[in-house]
Amino acid sequence: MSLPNGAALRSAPPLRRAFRVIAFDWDGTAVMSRQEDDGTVRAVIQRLLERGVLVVVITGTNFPTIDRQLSASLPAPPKHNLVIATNRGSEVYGFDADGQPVVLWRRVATSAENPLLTAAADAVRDTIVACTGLDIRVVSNRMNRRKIDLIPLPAWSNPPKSAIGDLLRAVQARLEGGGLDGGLRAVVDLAERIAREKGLFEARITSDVKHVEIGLTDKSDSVNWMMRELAQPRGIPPEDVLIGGDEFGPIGGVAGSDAKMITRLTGKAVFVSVGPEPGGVPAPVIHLGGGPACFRELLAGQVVLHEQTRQRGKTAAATADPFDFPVMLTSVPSWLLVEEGFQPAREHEIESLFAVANGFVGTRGSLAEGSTLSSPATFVSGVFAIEREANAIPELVVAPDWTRLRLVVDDHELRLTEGEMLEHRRVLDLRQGILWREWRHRDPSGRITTVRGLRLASLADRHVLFQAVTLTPENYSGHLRLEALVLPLSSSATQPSIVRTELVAGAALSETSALVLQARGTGVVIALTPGSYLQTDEGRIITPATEDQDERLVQRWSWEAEIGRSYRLNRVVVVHTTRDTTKPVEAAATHQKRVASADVEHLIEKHVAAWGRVWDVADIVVDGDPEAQRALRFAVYHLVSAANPADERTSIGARALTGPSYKGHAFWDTEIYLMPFYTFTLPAVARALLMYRYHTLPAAREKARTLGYRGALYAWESAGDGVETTPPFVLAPDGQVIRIRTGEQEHHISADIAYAVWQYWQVTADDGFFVAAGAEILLETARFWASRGQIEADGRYHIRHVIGPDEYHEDVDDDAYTNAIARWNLERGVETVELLRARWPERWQEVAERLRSTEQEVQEWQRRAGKMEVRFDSSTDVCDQFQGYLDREDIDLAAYEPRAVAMDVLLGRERIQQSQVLKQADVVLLLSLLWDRFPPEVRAANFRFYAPRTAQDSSLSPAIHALVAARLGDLTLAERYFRQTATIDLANTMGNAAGGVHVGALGALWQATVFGYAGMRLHPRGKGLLFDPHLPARWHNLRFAVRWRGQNLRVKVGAKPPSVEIDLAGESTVTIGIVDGPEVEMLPGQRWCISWEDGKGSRW
Amino acid sequence: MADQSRRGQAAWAPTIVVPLDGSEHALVALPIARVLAELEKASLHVVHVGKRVLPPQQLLRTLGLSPEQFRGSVIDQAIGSPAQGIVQLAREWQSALIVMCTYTALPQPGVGLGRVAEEVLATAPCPVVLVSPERGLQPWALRQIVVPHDGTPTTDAAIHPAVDLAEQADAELLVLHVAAPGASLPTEPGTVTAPRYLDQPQHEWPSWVHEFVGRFRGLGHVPGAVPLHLFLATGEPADAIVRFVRDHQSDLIALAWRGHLEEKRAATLKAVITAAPCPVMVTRVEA
Repeated sequence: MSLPNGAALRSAPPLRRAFRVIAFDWDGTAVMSRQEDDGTVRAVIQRLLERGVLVVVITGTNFPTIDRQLSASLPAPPKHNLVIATNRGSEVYGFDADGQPVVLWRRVATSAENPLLTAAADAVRDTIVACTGLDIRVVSNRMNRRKIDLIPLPAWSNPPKSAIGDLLRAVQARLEGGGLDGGLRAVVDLAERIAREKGLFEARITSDVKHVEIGLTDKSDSVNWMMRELAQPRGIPPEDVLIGGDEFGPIGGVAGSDAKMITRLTGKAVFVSVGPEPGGVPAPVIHLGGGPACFRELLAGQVVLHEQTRQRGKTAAATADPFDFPVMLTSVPSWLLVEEGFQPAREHEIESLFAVANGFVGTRGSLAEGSTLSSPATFVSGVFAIEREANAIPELVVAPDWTRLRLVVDDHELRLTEGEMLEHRRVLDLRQGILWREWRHRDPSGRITTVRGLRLASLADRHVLFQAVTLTPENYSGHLRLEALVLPLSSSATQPSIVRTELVAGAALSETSALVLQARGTGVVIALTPGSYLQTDEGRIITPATEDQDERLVQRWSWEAEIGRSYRLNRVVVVHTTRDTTKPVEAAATHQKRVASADVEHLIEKHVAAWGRVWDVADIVVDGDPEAQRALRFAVYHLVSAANPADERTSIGARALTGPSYKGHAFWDTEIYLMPFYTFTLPAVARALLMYRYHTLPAAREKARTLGYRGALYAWESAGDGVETTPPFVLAPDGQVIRIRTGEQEHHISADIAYAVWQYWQVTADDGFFVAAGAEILLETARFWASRGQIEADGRYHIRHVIGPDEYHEDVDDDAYTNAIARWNLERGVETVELLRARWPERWQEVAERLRSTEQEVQEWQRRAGKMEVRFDSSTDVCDQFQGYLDREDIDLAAYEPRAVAMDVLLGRERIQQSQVLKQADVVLLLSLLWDRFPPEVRAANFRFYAPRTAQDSSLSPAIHALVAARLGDLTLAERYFRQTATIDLANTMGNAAGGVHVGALGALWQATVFGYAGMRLHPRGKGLLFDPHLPARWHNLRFAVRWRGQNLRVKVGAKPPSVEIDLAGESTVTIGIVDGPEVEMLPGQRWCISWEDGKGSRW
Repeated sequence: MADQSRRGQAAWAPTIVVPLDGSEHALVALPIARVLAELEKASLHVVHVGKRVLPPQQLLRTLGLSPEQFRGSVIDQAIGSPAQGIVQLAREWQSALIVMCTYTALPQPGVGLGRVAEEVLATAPCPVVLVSPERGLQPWALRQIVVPHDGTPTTDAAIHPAVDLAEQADAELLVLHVAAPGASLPTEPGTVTAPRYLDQPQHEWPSWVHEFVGRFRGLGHVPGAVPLHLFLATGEPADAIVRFVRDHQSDLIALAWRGHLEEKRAATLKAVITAAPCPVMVTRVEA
């Protein structure tokens, strides 16, 4: 065996490249043995990880072995580039931001497969024993496989890899000496036959000579996962993947275990063997020999090559960073949303899903160069316009498109739809809040241009938008012209919901031009100041020509581009409005200069760091279900992107800042569906959103007064000032004019806001907010409910003529949700008065005087709450959703499945109002909000009654059903509803998201996970948190963080055995407990762990 | 048969093929074909496929064509299978349309088409306009085209001929989407059906109309000058389409068809052809 040397490596030209993925076997390839503790290999792997190389260890052993030898000692930041595929294809581990291992994929044998594996292995053993009389043993404690030890002798208990030749001779001699002709090969054939006979038709038979294994997976599963989940989403072709091993060639007539890594997906990768390979290697494999020492030299060479490549600034295909920007694309797939190619029909939904936003400003993920189906839009939170016509409705203004680029190559404009799109990929990096794009294009003249870019809305400085684009002429030198435009968008017949902005001045400041626009009707002024520069890969700045036209700003660069050179445009756009400053133009100009004084790397780093801080408190980790993991991160990404803790004067529209639908109007969604996420993770955001409701109390009082009530009735839809903005009617495409009555009758929103106020105060103990603002909301909404109904002849308090959350039934009496939440609101009103009197008497005096509140009024609140009509059928425990509901037509919804449209479209509005079909179930929502007020049997009875009658035609509905189903332990149903919610935006067939993401549903998905699967809820006495976990079968564990009264709790919920583990950081104690189980008073710095077995008796 | 030398000569004017077999029913295609030819500035080719080639005057008599009916047209004859001959001529002339009667003897059971029409539809290189014999010879004008649409991008891309006709005729396009109970979710990426979630109809309907029409105009390359209106109907698709066309007294139905006529396939197409109160233009698309 020859030792490796530079000559050996140099003799293999395919290896003289910087590979972007390096995958290799562990034992015998990277290390001599599993006992070895060689820091050398760790060090070289760490250097590769630091350079962005994806390193994949593929091994037959288990994770703890590799963790001990490699990963446990690696630092967290580069470790996210490391993936460990263990148990011969059965598991894949990655690492989260904290460097903690996470199961990315796992194959679990079914209850039917496990006995078959055992039976097959036993039969093979028995057959050999019968034939030879040898001592042959089955090793059963392996995941998804059984090992048949062909030589269970002390001398061969743990043979080193280097002794494989001697081992083979010993095994063959033993088997053939016992009378088994064909030796090892014969055993493998026998195992294949018996496995099939036992019903394991896709069994994987492998051998390391000492053993023959019958399993469900092998290394082909590992490499195929690697190609599908790591390489392909990043656009890494097989040619950029290096796969190393030591057993590719046949041994004893059996293909080497590493040969399984040569698959259809990896076929064009570069394979290298450092093993002795006495039987030679198959065709694609380069045989170096030399064992682990040679392999480490190979890895060290890769470090050098990557360093050289980075220095040279070569093209992305050969670099660690495919975009050649100061940040790298996140490597873990569950952080990425990837759109390959270009499907024009999906463009609008892609634009919504891939939007970048920071709560102040949001930009859809439109193509910078535009297309016939592009619908670019930038929204500035709280900036509405209203046409000067009667009944006009305020709409969120569409600000100028600041991302627009024109790239002209020798007079040919580069567009996706002209010429040949060689590669096109957009990746939303959820972890870093960056939209990446990579595009290789061949124009009709055969010129290939690579365009790479990123875009972000800074979370560190919310007024700043940033775009970078790198252009590389791959096979030509020629004249390039680049135009960067800030382009106002105009309304047109095809964009009916977009409001035109008016240009009032195109001011040219001393160094920065500004585009200034004014929103119609509201008069809000928006100022944008773009600042761009173009530089070559040598650092030379190319001077632009700037034009300030009437309605647009244009910067134009024109230069002779050289083949293989890269040219990068950096563009910073600063946005200010009269909502945040009295002089937005000056503010934007000054701000632009300040940003320009630092380099863009600094800007990006601050943005990425800000996202890092958010994810530290808001991430949810699902171990074992990548699909759910991605959906939850997508949800959190958009929830964070929607919110600005610094703005108390606006709320979050139904589609956040990602699309024009719903005109930016805020609904009850904010308080019931979004607020729990913010309250428990980003309380400053929750506070700002509730302050918006406080500031709009005058409009709510006015609406109540106009309708003849007292107190505060919040607008069903509101824009900036809280005035009712619900359109009075809509023309449906079937020609019907639909009268919209939600603005008149959907009054539960006032109690929903009160609920959010109370929950926020309970969770945060923010007395300052409660005293200054929250209490007044609670009092005014309670006052409204006391005036909204009447105690009638039956002695009950009735609220008539309302619409509940189930909007399929209008003008109903005693809606269960409305009445129950109104009663709760009245009770909290009374409690608020008592609290103010007891703890803040001066404030109470001031409020009572101002609101003219009397003792008699408060007593009346109590009386009316006590008489509130909420009816239950005593025989069934079912709550009547409203008066007469149970008498309506019971329609079997299952008969309409499969169904692609809402039920009221199929049945018509009239029939649906006369039926029991629900858009969303009021009572189920009520259970989720006031869980502890209902006995267990009532919860179960109502869920069972209402779930089959609920059409789930509201995007807000299925997540709440998932929450309740999970709490009731019906995980099959919970998972179905969870998937339905998760795919509302992410399914790629429905076009639902074209007008923006459904941010309410995304907030509800968080609730289904935390309140449903983890079963988290407030302690009934308000002193802490309780948990009652029910995880789906595929979820191994669930981790998330929450805040409780200034303390940080990290929660880990395990599935098998059921367990809860909590770390408390902060300065105060917190009561933590399990529902119907133990409670503890946790001290700061403590970890509390509890686990229990399922089933009967005392389970704790 | 047509001269092979014509093949590939791009300088020829556009053509519209009207197959006639000598039956009275077949003549119902003529008024429609003549209007379409005028709109498309195409020459009208009357095609007859028989057992032998007839002298011109005898052929006109056989086909039942009066001099007025024939004026301005070109006549082509072929020998052999009628459907193959018609398709072959349309292919050689690179015809824009074939306009023919749905059946001249009896319709095939369950299809609504005669044997020849069915074979022509299955193999035609261009859209086929099918005219019911019940329509007779009354004059025809094109003012309104109904485009039934399942929301898929494939259908968007298949309506070019209808868009072209609408543009030439200054006709309006009425795009009709039918929401049917029991219909599976389309799997084609980019499909936009009637909303699955109707959170707030006052916002969902305008957004949906905006999205549907936007995609239709973008993918179908519909010029801004062509009036386009979107309608939603519910129920069994063919019934809904026919009812809509009757209610609106539309002049043409433009259907995209995925190229299957066997039993249990193309139920909507077959039912619409059978019951349509106006001509039906069928454009085959790749599934």
